[in-house]
Amino acid sequence: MARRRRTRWAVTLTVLAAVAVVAWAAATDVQANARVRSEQTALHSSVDHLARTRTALAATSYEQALATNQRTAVTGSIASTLDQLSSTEAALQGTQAFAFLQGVDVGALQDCLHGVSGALQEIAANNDDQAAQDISGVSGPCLAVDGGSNDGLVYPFDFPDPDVILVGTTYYGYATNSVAGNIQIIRSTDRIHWSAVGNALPSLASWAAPHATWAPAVLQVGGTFDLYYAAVVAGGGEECVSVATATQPQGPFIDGSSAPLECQPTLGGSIDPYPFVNTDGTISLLWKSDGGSLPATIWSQPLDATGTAVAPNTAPAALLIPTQSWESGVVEAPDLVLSGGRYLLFYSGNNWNSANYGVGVAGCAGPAGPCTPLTDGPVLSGDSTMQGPGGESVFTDPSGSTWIAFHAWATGSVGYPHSRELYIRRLDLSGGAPSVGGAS
Amino acid sequence: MGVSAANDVSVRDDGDVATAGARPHGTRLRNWVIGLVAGVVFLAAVGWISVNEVRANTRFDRTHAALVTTRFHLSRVVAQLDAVRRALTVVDGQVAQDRQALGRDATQLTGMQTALSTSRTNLSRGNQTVTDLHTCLSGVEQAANALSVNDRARAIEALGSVTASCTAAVDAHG
Repeated sequence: MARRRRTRWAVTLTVLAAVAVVAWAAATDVQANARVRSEQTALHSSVDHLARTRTALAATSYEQALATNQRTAVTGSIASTLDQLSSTEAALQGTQAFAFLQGVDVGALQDCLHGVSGALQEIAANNDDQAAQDISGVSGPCLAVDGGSNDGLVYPFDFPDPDVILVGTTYYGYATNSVAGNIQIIRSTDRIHWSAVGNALPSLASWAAPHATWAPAVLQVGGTFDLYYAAVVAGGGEECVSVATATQPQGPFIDGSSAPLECQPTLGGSIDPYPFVNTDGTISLLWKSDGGSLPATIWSQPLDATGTAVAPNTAPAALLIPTQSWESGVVEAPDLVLSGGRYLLFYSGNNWNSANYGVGVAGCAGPAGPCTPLTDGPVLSGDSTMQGPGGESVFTDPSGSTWIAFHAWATGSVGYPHSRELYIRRLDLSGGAPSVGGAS
Repeated sequence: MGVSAANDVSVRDDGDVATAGARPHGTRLRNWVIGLVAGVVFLAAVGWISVNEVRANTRFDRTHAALVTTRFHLSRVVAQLDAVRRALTVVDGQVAQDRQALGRDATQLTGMQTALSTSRTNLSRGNQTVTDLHTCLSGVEQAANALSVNDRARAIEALGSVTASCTAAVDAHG
């Protein structure tokens, strides 16, 4: 019995132990599975979170890309705007600079116009002296209006057939009648800036008619200044040459003659006088006959020692007639120069009232000729800044440099009643043929 | 068949009744079988539970490792997200500043273009005035030249041809 009871207890205990073991194992298993589920839940949660975060990252990265693109676009716009700003500013500055120059132009034009208008009114009132002053007062502005003196323009008003002489340290310029009177006179100390003096010939000779006193030339003989000029014989006659005298270069010159000094009515009259003094002191007068039975011809005849009368027992000698095509049948405005033992006759050819007018040069055996052109064409003709140069006058400055003064039309303003303005350019006589240089 | 503890008698299949204290061989065998079955069942249960637990632990380990990896990735992505958001904030600020600068530049450009347009308009008017003054001056100069040689007809003609230009120039600049 006891044995069986012990056995039963042992079995019971064994069973209980087994049940306990199984229960413990089951509980442990349940816990393990619970941990697994919990971990899996956490894993799912993390995976979901990771997915959402990645989605957010992608979205944010996309936004950043968009923002970066926007910034790039804005930066590009800024650069473009700055470029436009820079170019606009440059254009504005250029425009303002141009406007400033334009203002200067307008100011100069107004000043010049004011002076010319005043001169016009004075001329209408027969007040030539005041007209000369009005013109002289606006020489600077009018010169600026015509582009300045870089091309040799020194007097921007009508100053035809100029003659320039040097007396002491002052240059005097004389020209055909215009604003300032019968014979215009201007002066300068630097050959560049000129001012009007007035009317060199207030009164004409008794035989001469007004309003056509042309092509003056002045020669100093001792203490006297002889002014040669052409004037119309009153009563419908031809142009003839006369001479007036003064004790100072600025005049007034007095012409007390009762008849012309030189006159060739059958040859269309005599104009463009020019006095030449040879090495022996002999004075010769050169001029041009205007047509008639002969072609336009340049003549020469000796004068007496005073230069106011033809030398006795002399006759005019023909120096030059038109032979070249560019002259178009006209040679005039003689100006004889002795340089290096050579007699160089400068003359103008072609139509004075056109852009084809020019200056030629001939070599002469002496003041009485004969003369032969040195070149096939003119040595001075129109260029981009002036047209129809002519009426030349060769002179020397105190340093010995040679210059040529001439009148010319402004480009685009060719022909009467436009102005023939005064130019002065350097003249080189050293070569075989003279050459005209620049303004300085 | 069964065991009756109440009368301590073991009944055999053939109907013989054994006396108490002398266990019959069949009973012992049945107990051994029962014990053996119980043991087997026990061992099977414990084994199944153990295997199941091992599997659970394995799954746990894998899941835990995946969780650790996922959290690591998550932390990196969060860090990246933060960095990108900070960069986005910076870029947004720069865009705002650039837009302000662009606005200022555009305003300045507009003003300058207006000034340029005005200046060009004035320049054009000035050019016309210069042209008028040139024309007027030319006419007056021609009139003076004509009058100086007593050519009054030409002087009148010259003045008449520039009257309009002179008037325009005077109107423009007094």
